[in-house]
Amino acid sequence: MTTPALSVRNLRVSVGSGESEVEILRGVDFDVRRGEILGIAGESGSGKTMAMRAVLGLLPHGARATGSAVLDGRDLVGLSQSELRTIRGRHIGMVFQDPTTSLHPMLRIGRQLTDHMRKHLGLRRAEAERRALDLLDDVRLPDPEQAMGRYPHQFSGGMRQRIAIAAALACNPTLIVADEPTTALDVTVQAGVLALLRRLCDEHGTSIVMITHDLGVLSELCDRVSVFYSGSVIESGSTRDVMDHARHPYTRALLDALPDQGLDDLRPMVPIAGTAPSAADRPAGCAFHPRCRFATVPCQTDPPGPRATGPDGAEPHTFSCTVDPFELRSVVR
Amino acid sequence: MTATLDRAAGPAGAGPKRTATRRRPPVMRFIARRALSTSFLLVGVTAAVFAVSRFVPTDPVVANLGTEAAQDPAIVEAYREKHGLDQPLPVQYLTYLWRLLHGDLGQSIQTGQAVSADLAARVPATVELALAAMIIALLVSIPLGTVAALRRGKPSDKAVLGGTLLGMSAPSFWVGLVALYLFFFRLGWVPGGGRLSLEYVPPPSRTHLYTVDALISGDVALAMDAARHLVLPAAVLALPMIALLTRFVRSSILDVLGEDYVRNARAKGLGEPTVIVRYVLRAAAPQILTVVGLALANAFVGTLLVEQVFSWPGMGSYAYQSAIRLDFPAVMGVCLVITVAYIIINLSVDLLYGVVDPRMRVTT
Repeated sequence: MTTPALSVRNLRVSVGSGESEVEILRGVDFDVRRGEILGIAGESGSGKTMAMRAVLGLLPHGARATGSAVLDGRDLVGLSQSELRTIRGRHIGMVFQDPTTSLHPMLRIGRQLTDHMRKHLGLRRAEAERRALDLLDDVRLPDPEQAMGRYPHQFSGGMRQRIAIAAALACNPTLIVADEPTTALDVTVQAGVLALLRRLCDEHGTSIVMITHDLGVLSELCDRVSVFYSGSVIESGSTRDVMDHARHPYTRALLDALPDQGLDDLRPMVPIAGTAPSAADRPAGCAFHPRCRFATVPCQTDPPGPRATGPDGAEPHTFSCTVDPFELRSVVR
Repeated sequence: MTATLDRAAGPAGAGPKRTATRRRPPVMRFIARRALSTSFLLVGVTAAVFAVSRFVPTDPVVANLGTEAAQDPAIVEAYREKHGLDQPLPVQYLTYLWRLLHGDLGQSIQTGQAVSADLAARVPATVELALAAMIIALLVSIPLGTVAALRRGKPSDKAVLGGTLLGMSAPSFWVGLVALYLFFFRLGWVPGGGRLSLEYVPPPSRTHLYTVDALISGDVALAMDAARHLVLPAAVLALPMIALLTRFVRSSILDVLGEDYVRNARAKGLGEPTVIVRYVLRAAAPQILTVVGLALANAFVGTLLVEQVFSWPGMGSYAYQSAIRLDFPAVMGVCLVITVAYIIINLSVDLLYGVVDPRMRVTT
């Protein structure tokens, strides 16, 4: 097995200091293998975006990261901003949630596609523009020649996101981080963008980290999944294992909270009681216990460590729950 | 007029935005619509200025003839007749409007010349002063405001904010006098006043801006002399503009810094100078432009005192001299020029929005 494209170990992010120090990310581990799509799922505030911002060195002012995030054999945590600038855009491409705001409204598409290519790859303007045309063609944007001279507002949301993906892909990065790339799009164009990401991943061998709260997107697109809750990874494994045999009550609750997916699935939709705790006010023990239907006394005091499940040698499936209420029923859903 | 517009519509109207165009390109329609509303505005301004000038509780006759001559009813009568002051007010106003339509702004009581000729000689000097002040203000305030925004909350930011507050509250005639004392009288770095030293003659007129004209005619020494005369009054005039603009640049940049596309630019690994100049300042440009227009328009009024201090032969000192002598035709002429300047500046700003922000281009 080759080394993963990105290997994150014990990544912690905190803000403030001394008494008021708050740990937003509490030591997360995950690997992104070459050519795979890893889904990172969780509610807002669970730390999923913060984890990737820590990897990119784009943390908000006052936040610190510790741990390690090794990309192509190089630990990114602790690198200086100027070193990180040679990584961002070059080895890690980023696709943001809302293409309406992530593209500069007053700069032409051609400029926004080429400026980092010229910086990172040392291309001349004409070369960079030729490559940009290929990229736009690759993301299936109609009429790339004309698109280069246009501004973002002259495209639909789906087309803008394709442009943003082309920009992320421009320097042929090892990894693309897509932060909820379909959330701001119409449902009808979401599928197209997802299919594009899948194809790019297959054709270019680019690894993708897909940050999302949409389990439908996860099950459709991702090879493996890590579920975040309150700054920790509470369950991870192959998409099929996690979706069909969820072992953590939170993952199970998330799945139950999905609306009906079709006529053959007539189970009721069950919302998760309570709200996600804030990082500053996290309960002791298992962070999920106040909302958990299966919580017992130890859950209130002992933070659960990760447990492996499934047969040896298969794709590892780990979860962090002391109770493991789905132990016996893990085959049925 | 229609013919020109239609001809201009030809090539541009064939563009991709045909539906929004109909016959004339939107820009031309925009200008035409503005010209129409502007003419109403101008009539209103003439009425207001006329009313104010006639209701001032002082007799222009006394002011201009002197107390002695004003004792003689015959002289007063002749004077009133000569300047139309014996007519009823509505007639005076209509006469004024009628002449205005023919480009006749009346005769200055003070100089005895046509007001239009006086203004033609003086307005360019003011334009040169205001533009120079604008350039100085932009050169100072954009870097200053940017740095303050990037160092938000730090001592340097607070120093800039405090400094701008001082700059806004310092009266320009006082600053002008102090500057003149210091840089002319004490240090001798700049000449004392006027547009040119005595040994120079004005350059051949093209733009009527001495510095530009001198450069066009290739006379470097003359251009230098004109610039040396220009720099101090322009700097004094620029001071309140710098204060205002720096604050605005700072706040518009703070607005933009949190935007997704700025984060995206950083995520692309672009260097911080590139991010600031090409992404942040670019995005803040329309907001800054708004205030630049405002500051430039204010500068035309601000020249009034600054020109007086620096004996700058522009419209401001003309306005001042006319006002204290109740030279109504001249005062009204100046008011008209300022109105027109405001209108032109606002129109230019609105048109420049389209240049700066592509989203504003079609929607007018």
